[in-house]
Amino acid sequence: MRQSALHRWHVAAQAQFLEAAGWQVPAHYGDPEPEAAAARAGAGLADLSNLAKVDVCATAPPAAASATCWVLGHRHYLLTGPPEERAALAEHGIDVTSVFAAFLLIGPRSRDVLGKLSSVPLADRSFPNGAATQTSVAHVHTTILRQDRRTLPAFLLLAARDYAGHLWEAILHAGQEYGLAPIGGEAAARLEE
Amino acid sequence: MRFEFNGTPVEARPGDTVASALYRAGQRVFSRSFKYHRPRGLLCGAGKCPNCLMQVDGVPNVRVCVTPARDGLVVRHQHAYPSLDFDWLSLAQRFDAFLPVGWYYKTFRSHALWRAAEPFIRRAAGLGVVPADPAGEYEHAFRQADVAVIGGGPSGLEAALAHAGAGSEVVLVDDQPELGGHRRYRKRAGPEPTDLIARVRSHPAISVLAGAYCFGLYEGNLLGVVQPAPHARCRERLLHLRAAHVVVATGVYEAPLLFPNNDLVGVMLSTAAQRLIHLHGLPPGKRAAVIGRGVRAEEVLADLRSAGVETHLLIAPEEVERAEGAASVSALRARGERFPCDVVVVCGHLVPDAGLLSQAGARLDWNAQVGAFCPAGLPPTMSAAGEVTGAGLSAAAPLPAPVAPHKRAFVCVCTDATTQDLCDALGEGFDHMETLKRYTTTTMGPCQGRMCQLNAIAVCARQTGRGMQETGVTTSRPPNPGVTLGALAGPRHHPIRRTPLHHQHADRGAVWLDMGEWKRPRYYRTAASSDETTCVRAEYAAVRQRVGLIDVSTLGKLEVRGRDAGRLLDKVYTHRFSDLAVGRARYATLCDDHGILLDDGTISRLAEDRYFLTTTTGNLDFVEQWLLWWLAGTGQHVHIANVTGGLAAVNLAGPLARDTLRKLTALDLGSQAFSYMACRQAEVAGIPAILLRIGFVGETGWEIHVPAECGPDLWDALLDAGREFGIRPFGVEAQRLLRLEKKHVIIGVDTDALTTPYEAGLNWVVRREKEDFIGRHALSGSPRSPRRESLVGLVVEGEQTPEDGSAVMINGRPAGRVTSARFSPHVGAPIALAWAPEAKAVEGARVEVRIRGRAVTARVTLEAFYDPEGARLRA
Repeated sequence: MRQSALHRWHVAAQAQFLEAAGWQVPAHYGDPEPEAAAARAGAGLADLSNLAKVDVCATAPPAAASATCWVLGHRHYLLTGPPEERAALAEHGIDVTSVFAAFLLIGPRSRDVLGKLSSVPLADRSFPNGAATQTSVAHVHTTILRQDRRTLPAFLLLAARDYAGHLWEAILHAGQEYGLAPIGGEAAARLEE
Repeated sequence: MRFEFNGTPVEARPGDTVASALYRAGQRVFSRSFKYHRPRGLLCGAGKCPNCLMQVDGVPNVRVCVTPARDGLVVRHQHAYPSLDFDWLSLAQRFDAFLPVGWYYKTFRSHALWRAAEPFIRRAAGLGVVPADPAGEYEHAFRQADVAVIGGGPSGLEAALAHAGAGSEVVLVDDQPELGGHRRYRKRAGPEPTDLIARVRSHPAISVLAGAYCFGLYEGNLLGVVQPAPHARCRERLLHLRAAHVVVATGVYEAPLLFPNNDLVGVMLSTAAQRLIHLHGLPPGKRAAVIGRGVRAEEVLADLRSAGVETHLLIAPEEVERAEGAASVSALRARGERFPCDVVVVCGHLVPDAGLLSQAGARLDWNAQVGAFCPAGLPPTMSAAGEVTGAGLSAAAPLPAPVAPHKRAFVCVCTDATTQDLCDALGEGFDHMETLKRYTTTTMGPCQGRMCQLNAIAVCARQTGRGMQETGVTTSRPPNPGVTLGALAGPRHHPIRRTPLHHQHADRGAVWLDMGEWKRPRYYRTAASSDETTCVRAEYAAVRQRVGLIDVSTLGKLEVRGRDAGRLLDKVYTHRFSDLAVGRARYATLCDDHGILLDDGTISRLAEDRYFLTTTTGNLDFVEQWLLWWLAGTGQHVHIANVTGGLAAVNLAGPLARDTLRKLTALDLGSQAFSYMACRQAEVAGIPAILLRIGFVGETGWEIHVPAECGPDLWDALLDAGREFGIRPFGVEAQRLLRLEKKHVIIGVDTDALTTPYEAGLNWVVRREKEDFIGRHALSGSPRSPRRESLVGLVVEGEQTPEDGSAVMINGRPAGRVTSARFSPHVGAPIALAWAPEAKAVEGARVEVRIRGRAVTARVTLEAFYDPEGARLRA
């Protein structure tokens, strides 16, 4: 079974796991309802490391219906998509699913949490939904992708897997004052509804 | 609300600062002066002077007059022995004849004398005690705004509303707990701007940071803002506020007047008295003498009277002769009369608080009419509003005024510099404002010139006969006010990189080695032993005799794809890779233009257009950038992806490695089918893997790369499969020993910033016949041409292993150095890699190695210490 770099952390936090495309991912840490409520009121942090990620070097954005295409630079794109699409998406470039841990930081205070760890401007005007940037978050090179869920501002954070533990804990620590809670896949799904 | 002051509880009311609560409780002496240890009381009441610095919750030099009182604070005085009311060191003022200006320079002409005196002086003159373990956390935060307004007085509020009204996002920073600026305590100067405050507070585009102070302006309109206690866990937050436009509406602060004994306890500035009266409901004393003239002085007089303070008639600044009193003021002598009082209220100079503007490059021009240096020539990204511009001010006293040098008329309250000191310094020739500042340390204390700058300029101007403008202001630099080192340092973010097998190592008792940000197992403790030497020896034996397994996930890994990938690698690496057969791997070195070795690794060809590179752990980022740099602008079709974190990598090595691996894969592992330096893609334990047949440790072995999320499964499967063969995981320490026996070089450890491949004995990696590669010109000469020195092997006589870096000696003179050394179980003696002169790079030559001060003989060897033919590697 494929496991995220934070698997031991999830186990210690009494996560209930579910299986998705060969990965074990946290479904919830006891009860998804308060997790979703925390994300709606303050901020939530979910480990989505099984998200399929493909690094693409091409003259035009690749056409992949099942994926989101992010512009990282000149002729440099990143595809993200559901875990089960990994093999199909890998046709477009180099599969970097394993390279990056992926966290979803979601909620009305998510920007304030990131503002304690990164100097990049994240206001709606300079970083709208769909924007992508690469910067330092808690001193770790991170790709920030703005991907709002319904009305909630949300940021996908991709960082090298070896830094996952450090980054996860730094975000949780910074988010304490805003009521940040770790959330599982079930709560994350509820926020989409 | 109750806090503790020097061990006794002090009651505080809501809205109190620590200083106002102490004042209410009867405390009048708040500190002792720097040099003479004279008692000092509240002077400015606004966080601008050094008189109320105390140790709060362990933090030294806290300005208690702007620190809100909180339940449970622990406040202590600092810099007074034994107490504020009685300080032995105040005897120093009796000996002031021996403490002239420039005392340090005049007294400590010998270094030895200074060394002897320094500890005593530091203790007597220091400010507070640095806590060994400060409680609470420090944070940083980042914020951007269209407009930042500094100052929450009427002008700041209006500026914020105007900019917000024009569609800008505004951040308003004010150092007081409530908005309103001077109108909060100068009730007679105008009504409190309650309506403006309400509009600012409710405006969606304005965020208000009250109780936060801005300490400096940096390049690109970056403002440093400190927010004390932004939330329960946090002591201070440093906000990096970047604004397209900055409005400075900092207003004015009040600076003292010069007269003998102007520092006595009870002599306070008028705004301090007004703050006590209007913000804290505290009359500053029973009987006051007020120095000042004009509308402002009348206003202060009225405030004092309405607070129930008995007052004398106004005394003009020129009429003052001196203040009298032992520790606290008991009378003011003026116009030949004696005015008994317990508080002297001074309507001082009003100084525009233009530090931020000056830091942004604004000029400060003297305006005699308003008696102030006013900002001019502001950069387009800054503007000023309100009293900071000098608008509406009138001079408190004409400047420059006649100066009477006096040993008790204090110009600088931070460092006890008097008018006498300044006049003496001017007489000694320090007649430029900047040299005067440095020689007397005036303006260099905790207040950073707020209390003393104007008076010092006035003294300098008067004595030198120059004008105020010509004398000029000293340079304003951040931080002002001071910032704690904790706030500047920020949170403790030390990124840790963990390999995908981190927890497997932890479970097996790994002892960690920090390599940059990585955690790697140095060795594994076992039930039998936790001693490093024993464990490393056992791990070593397992690899040489049976089979061992090491986590090498920290290796840098790059995928290089595209039809021109081979061409790029030919250009960047010294070897040729365009002719590498699919399914083969090659040792790869990388040099700069001077032929200096930068990095090494392996390059494998997985497919026609697909190469897999490994780099050393520490050089990954450099190699990636180096490749991208040499690719840029070439128009070549190459896609480089850093896949380091995505692959867990292990090295399975030892005579029984093949037997172990065979149990987990269908691949033919025979020495013909899967020969040395071959690579394959296959499943191992059902996991897709890249296998490289390479051998850093000198045994039959495979480097196996699998997706990081499958790493733990692979690790467990290999250990399970190898159990019957006595497999053992080994750490970096055993690996270092194993590779040293093979004389495998580690770039950056055994080589330095001048090493070429030829000197490192790597002639074969340089393909000089290639048309072009980086370093070709420098490496085009013969590998045998004269060199600086050579990297050789040494077998050291005796038991002692030299330390890395030990000197290599020839005829008693240093001639080289040891780069790596270990005791070799195979040789039965300490072995080393060392740099030695070319003449000694001969098999069997003798040199000496200095080990802990003793010269020990060592024999040079050019071959590997272990398996020089490489038979075991290829088996």
